[in-house]
This record gives sequence, structure tokens and C-alpha cells, in this order.
Amino acid sequence: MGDLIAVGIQIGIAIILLGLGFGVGGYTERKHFKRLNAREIECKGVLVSTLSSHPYADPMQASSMVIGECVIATDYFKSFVTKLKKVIGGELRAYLSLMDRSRREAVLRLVADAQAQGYDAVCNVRFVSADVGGSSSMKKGSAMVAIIASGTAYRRVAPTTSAS
Amino acid sequence: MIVVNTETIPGREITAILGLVQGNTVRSKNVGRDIAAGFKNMVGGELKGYTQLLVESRRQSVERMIAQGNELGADAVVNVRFTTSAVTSGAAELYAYGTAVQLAAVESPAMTEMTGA
Repeated sequence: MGDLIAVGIQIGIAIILLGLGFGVGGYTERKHFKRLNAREIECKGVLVSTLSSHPYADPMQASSMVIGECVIATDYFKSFVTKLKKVIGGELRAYLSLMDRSRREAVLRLVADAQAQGYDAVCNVRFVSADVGGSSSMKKGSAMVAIIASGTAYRRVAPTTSAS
Repeated sequence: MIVVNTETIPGREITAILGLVQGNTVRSKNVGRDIAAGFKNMVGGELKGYTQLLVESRRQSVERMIAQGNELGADAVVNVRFTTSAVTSGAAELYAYGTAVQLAAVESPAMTEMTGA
């Protein structure tokens, strides 16, 4: 009888966590995507490229390195769904949005860093993913992704009007 | 010290290549952050404590790289790259490396210094 209650409590907690992950996690993700979209439109004036040369650079102005970092975790619901999905394999869409979010957030922080220092262009953008949690977080089944985006910020010759 | 991750610096000429400079740091998260992250893992979202940890380790490794460049008498570090590796569970290494170079003297138009920000 005692065992049955214990099992019942465990299942109950799992269901609550799943609901919490699905509700709160889904809501924060949608909100984050909305914010990302809005900020990306705001940052359109900054020319971001992966070229190692400095396109349209003003040679009389300084340039410096700018960096953006972001660490984002999945929610309980997504890691649960992914565990099920791993049985059949295929694309893990729940984690795809996680990578997307953290990369875009890192780039936006990099652009914000450049703007704060008065630059209007960033070139040679590179991404590195860091494993801050180490393998312990993988064992627990909760994925988290850490991205470092780095680039070189500089000023352009003539500020070209960005297509709106 | 100018730090860029491109091979060239606009308006400046590289006169001498001094060699590879590197800086690294191995950091571990602490228990407090781990607990906070554990809670966050239920609902998802950004782990601010870990982002902060990443910022700190990156600054540390860039600082060490710049210190090496200064020792060599470099004016700039170009082509900076970062890599990470998981050393043990719960700890990560952040490694920054670049090429220390000397630049031709130029009628400098307000060259801002990289402060690691």
C-alpha cells in the first residue's frame, strides 16, 4: 500500500513537471522568439558578415573584437519528448529551436556590444559551443547549450541605408 | 593592444609576426548555480548564472592571451579563435588563441583599446 502511494506521488510529480515544462517553457520560448524577431529588425543597421576582410571599412577608424554569449536550457517537457523520440531516431525538433534561440541571442548580444562601442558593422562572425555543464548535465537528461559568438567590429565608410 | 578575429586590421599594416599567443582557463560551476540551473531545467529558458560563468572565463582567457602578447612586445593580436573542451564533468576549459603581430606606426586616429568587454 505504501509503495503504491509512493509510486502515485512520483507519477504525480512527473505529470506536474511535464505540465510546467509544457506551459511555462512553451510560453517563455514563444516570448523569446518574439523578442528575437523584434530585436533583429532593430539591429538591421549593423552589417553582420562572416567575411574575414572588412567590407566597406573606414580605414581611419579603429576596430575591435566583440563577443556575445548565451546559455539556454530545455524544459522538462521537451527533454521527455526527446527521450521518446530517441527510440525511433530522426530529427529532434525540440532541441533544434533551443540551438536556434541561443545562436540568435548570442549574435544579438554581439551586435549590441558593437553598437554600444559605436561601431556599425561586424565581420568574421564565428560560433563556438561550450560545454559548461560538462557531461553531468547530459546524464541527468537535461540538455543545455552554451554559445560564444565572436566577431570584429568596425566602422563603415558611408553609412548605407538598410533596406527596411 | 588591438584584438581582432580577422587576419588584417583596416588601415594598419602588419610588419612582423611574433607567433602564437594563447590563454586558457578551466572553470567549474558552483553548487549554488547548479541548484538554480536545476530548477531552470524544468521550465527551460536562459541560465543567467552559466552565461555569467562563460563571460568570466572568456574574459580570463582573453586577458591571459593579451598578457602573453604584451610579453612578446606585440601591438595587436589578430585572428583570435576560441575553443572549448569538457575536461571533467561539471568543468569546462575555454581556450583563446591568436597571432601576436607588430604594426607599422601610423598617425593613429583614436585607436580604442580592447578592454576585454
